[in-house]
Amino acid sequence: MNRKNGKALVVGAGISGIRAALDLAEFGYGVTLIDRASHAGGLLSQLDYQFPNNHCGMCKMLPLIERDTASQYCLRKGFFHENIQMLLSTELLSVDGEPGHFQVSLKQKQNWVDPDLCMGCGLCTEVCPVEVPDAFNAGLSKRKAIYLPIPHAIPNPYVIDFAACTLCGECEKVCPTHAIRLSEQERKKFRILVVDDELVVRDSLKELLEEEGFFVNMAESGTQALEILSGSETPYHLMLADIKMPGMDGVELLQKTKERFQDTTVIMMTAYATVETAVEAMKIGALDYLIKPFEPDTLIPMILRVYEDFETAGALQAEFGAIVLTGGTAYYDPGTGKNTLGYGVYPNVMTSIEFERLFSGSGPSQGRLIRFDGKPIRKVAWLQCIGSRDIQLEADFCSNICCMYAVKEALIAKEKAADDLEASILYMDMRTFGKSFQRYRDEAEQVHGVRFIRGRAHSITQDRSSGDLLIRYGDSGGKIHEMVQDAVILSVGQRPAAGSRVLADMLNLPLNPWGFFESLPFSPTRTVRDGVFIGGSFSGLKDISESVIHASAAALSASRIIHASGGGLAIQAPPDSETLDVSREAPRLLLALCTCDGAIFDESGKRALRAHFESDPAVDRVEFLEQVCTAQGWSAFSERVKKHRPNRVLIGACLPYVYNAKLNALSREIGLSRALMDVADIRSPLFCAADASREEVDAAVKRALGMGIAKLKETDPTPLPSTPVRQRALVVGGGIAGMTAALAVADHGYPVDLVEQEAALGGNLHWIRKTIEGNETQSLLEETVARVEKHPNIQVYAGHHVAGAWGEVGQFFTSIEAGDGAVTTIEHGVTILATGGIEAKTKSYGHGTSEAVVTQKELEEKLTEGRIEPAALQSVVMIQCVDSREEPRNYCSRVCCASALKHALFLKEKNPSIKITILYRDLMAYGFLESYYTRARAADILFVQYDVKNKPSVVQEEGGLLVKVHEPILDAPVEIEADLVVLATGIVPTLPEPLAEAFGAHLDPDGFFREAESKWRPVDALKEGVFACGIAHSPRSITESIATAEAAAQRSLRILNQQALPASKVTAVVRHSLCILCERCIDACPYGARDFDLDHTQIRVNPLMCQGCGSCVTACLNGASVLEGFEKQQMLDVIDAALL
Amino acid sequence: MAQEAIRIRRDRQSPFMDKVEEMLPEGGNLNLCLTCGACVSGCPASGLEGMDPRKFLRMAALGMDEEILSTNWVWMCSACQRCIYVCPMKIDIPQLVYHARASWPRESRPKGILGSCDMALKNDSCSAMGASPEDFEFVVNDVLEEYREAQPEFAEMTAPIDKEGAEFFLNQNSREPVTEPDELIPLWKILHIVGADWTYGSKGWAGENYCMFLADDESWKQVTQTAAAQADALGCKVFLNTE
Repeated sequence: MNRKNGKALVVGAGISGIRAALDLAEFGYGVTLIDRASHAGGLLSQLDYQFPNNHCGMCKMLPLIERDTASQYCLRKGFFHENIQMLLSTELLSVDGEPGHFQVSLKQKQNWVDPDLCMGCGLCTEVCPVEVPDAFNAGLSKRKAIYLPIPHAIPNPYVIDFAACTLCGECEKVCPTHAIRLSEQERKKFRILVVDDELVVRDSLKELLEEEGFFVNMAESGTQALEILSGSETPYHLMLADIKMPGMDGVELLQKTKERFQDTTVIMMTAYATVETAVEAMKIGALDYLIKPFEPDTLIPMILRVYEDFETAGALQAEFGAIVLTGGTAYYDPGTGKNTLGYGVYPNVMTSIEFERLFSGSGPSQGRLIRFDGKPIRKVAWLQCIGSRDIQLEADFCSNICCMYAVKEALIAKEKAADDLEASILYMDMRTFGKSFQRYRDEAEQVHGVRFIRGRAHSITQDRSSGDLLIRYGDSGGKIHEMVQDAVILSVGQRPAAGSRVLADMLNLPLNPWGFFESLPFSPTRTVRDGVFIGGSFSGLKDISESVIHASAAALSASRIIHASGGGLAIQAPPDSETLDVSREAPRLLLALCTCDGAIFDESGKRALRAHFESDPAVDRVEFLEQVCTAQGWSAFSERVKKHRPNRVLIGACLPYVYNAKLNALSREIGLSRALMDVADIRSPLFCAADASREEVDAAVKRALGMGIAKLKETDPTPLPSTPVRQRALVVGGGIAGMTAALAVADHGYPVDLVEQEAALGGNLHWIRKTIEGNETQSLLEETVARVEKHPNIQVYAGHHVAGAWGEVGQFFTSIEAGDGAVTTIEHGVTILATGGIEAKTKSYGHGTSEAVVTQKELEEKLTEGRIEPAALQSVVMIQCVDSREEPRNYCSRVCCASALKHALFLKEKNPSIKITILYRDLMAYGFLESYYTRARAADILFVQYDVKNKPSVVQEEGGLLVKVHEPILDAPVEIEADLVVLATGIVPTLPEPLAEAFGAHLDPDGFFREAESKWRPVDALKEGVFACGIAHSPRSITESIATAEAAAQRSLRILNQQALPASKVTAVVRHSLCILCERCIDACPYGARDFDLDHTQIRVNPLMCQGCGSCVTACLNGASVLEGFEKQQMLDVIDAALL
Repeated sequence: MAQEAIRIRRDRQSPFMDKVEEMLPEGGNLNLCLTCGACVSGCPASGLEGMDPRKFLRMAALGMDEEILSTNWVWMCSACQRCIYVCPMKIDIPQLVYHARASWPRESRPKGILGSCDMALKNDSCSAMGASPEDFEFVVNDVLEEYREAQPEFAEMTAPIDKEGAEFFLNQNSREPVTEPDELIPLWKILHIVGADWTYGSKGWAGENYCMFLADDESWKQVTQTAAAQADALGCKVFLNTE
């Protein structure tokens, strides 16, 4: 296996963290992935249905190459990778050192339920007497104090919520594996000193804290407190100090305590009036503060956090080359603030996340759309921009994803109610700026009847008797409408992840004005601190696709630093044994059974099992071992394997996934194919039927083992083939995306051929001067071109185009043609398409007939060249969405609204008296671009919304142009005099279909690159080894293009990294003698791994692309399609064994 | 019939809005409208006179000053502030309406409001119903006496006027002393039970201020100042405005 000595730390195990970790691990680095939660998966573990097809598909992120190094089951449940160490309940404490060599300390919370021992039987929850709201179901259902944080996770140990736990100890008594160690908590050793001049405060705190089991002492003044601290032999761990006390006040006490007793944690207690003093106290060493009067709900969790730190024995220290921060986002709580919408007051007003839980099969009503009072939900309204685009809430930003999740939720609600449901979305602008979003929205409206209503509701009122909700809104013209709804969903926006500020301070990183992490100009992932990168939603909420792209981009940046500091060197490990060819041997199976310290078998059971299985000629021997899961047990097991040299190995134990990495290592060591080793779960039958008799349990164990044996017996032991890799990349297109991708690959030491059809590199950067943020694009262009041209690993073919290509991952052959017709053939292992796009041409609104009608690009060029003088203009009208967002070009080009805002603000700056009017349909100032929209309105730029069914018109009149448009608010036609009309025509791609298809890639209906999967494999073609980035992929800004380029490079590196690509143990093959070439299997394959080989007139399977799902086998009428590892006889034998 | 188009000149001006912007902190955010309509949906006066807060602001932005400054709608606004309360851009529409009112010739403003303001300016009570300080004093004492006798548990209750050094200075809508004297009592009882040290003023006791609704700054100031001066003169610490 591929293993380099470089190491990376990924902070946050949501979808971005998982993507970044897998990327780095697949490239061979050792990755430590941490999360402060007790489970991985982040927000996505709560979301069952995803845009655009309501499927999950997260598993498509699992490694496609060297699949056997990682787990092969539902990724939402959890995952394993041999190069990834996952540390849950773990936080980042500190980072020192230099990029390439960061010294990091991590803190992992104590597990009071041992995850290695917990089998998830659930007996503990049955006896737990406490019930609290379940955060997983957004509080819509109840759980116990000992609970599963995520019902579907693997592994899934129970955890204890100490804020709710009464320490009754019942769970510990019933736990069959002694995994619960509650009684090991020594709370009496945790010493608390309460300092307050008021007796009643001291007494009530003492009572509360003693009830929690802590040792508590009291002092009535600062002086007395210091006496107690110095007089005590054993130190105090926590001091609660009142701020306002006669004599020595709390702040002085804090100072003196910190001088002499550094290890005592101090929490201030304060009245509302002195909260500011408490905040100041935190700067000189107080951990936190409590506001009087205390609520036990705030007090106890805070004390427990300090206690948990006390129980956490020391920090973990490790060195990492780079750090990727993928901390995600939090969401706005609509119950705070003015709350005119009645969230938390009216039970049927809920957030979008709560609604996701409501319709989830694992939700509070098992996925049925019913309210708490049992009434079916048949009329639902979504209110957009809750907590976004609101300066009263200090949220002058758009949260990016809410428009699309509202449409998605509306469609799911309709589907769940078999269309008997009225869905309305009240919005300000439907921000359908992403790839395929516009058509999705249109279809929701036109085909599914979702109502889109432009407007914002002032408030919601509830009918007291029915619980129904009344919304009143004014339509564009001001007419008032009322609608009664069964439920109202608040589309809540983003807030910075909890703890962002603390983390930023610790790492010395800046936050943007709204508290989100900020990257450097033109980089989506780099921060001011070299070696520390941000990925995913940490820098602002992103949908899955963008999160995955940004995570891969962050992984690339991290990888670059690690590589540069020598982390790319392979770890010197004993060479793998050659895989033994046992195909000519009869099966000799070693059956190793874990007795789990005698819990599974008694002596007579053992004898019976041995007799039963040894009667099978394929079973060489049966061995009973104690606790194979422990190091000792495992070494006993591997000794047996090495001694007896079986050619099949089956372990009977619990939790089969635990053994994956160990078996892989053993396989490499002894040379027995991993496909010939397996684990059968013999523990589940025991607790699945708690009241089953001994005989029944024994029979169930026997069946589980019989199935495992049957499967292994019939497994084809032929060694797996592998495909050699040409470790060289081809990048087609020399714009910013292509250059970025080329540099990213080349910086890792692999040669790159960069083909550009123009004479000069740079693409669209040639005509763009500045971004809306004011960053200079020309310096970016110059620096990037210079780096590319000087790079020893990059060969630039300017003035060349691709004439033809063939081959597949690992081995492509591409001929490129120069202007003079000279042809060069390039061999490469991967292809990155970065062919870009151009501003669309138009004849609308009189473009081409008048000098005064220009496009946004022409405006930028003319401003640069001085051919348009802002001072000479009195009135400018900009028209957005020209020929865009309607068929046939029914997509948003994403950059035009920002361009219009940029140019409008520029003109206004140069000529403050200029009048600018922007005619738009939905203003796509997504994310933090919103603040420029706000700025533009503040600068007196007028925005008039128009309807696509009633477009503006431009006429020439004496003295200039006249733009006619229907003004919706006045519901009246207006005519705007203009000297200049600027058209936003959008972007069209320039990826020729024959070029894409030469590499086996496909185009979407608009001519952009079609991704393998828009969310989970957003820069991959379905055909492995082909990637796209920049505008060839989809319209995007410079920085967003760079993100895709880095992601595409990262995806390429995991292939370039290999000298040969081994096929995985479970892949499909074709028995050509049985195949009738009906091609059903080609259609059935979700991975595009099959095609029709015209040269040999047969169906061909690409073993690297095949993911072993078996769809082709079920589609094949003739039994010609076979999945290795799941062959027909094998499966029939397994079924026989199961029915024994 | 096609509606006549509104012409926006290349030198588009909005003098009225500009003027109001200059007077307000942050320009009242008057430019920032997202046209979301939250104000429309919450405004009790939406739809009256074919107008609503958003349309009003839009017309001001487009420089349609003639319409803005002549519509009767501005007098239908109750100055409740529901619009700015939820406005995501915190646009000060109430101030825009107020200044539109102020632009009307005083004599053309609605008779009811105008008359009430003028009445308040007649004597030191500042009562829109014209009650004099003497009338007020008589009614208060008369009602108080009646209740103290009828309800012995409130025999000690007081309703002082011009009590020097009282902590709270309380004002009172004229409607109660003039038409519903019994309704004065509940508040007195509350103040009595909590032991508040309070007083009415013989001057500026009337809580209503129609001059504010009339957008007559000078008169508004006069009414407010009369009450404030009396509270100061009595040495009260807190002005309790019951309106």
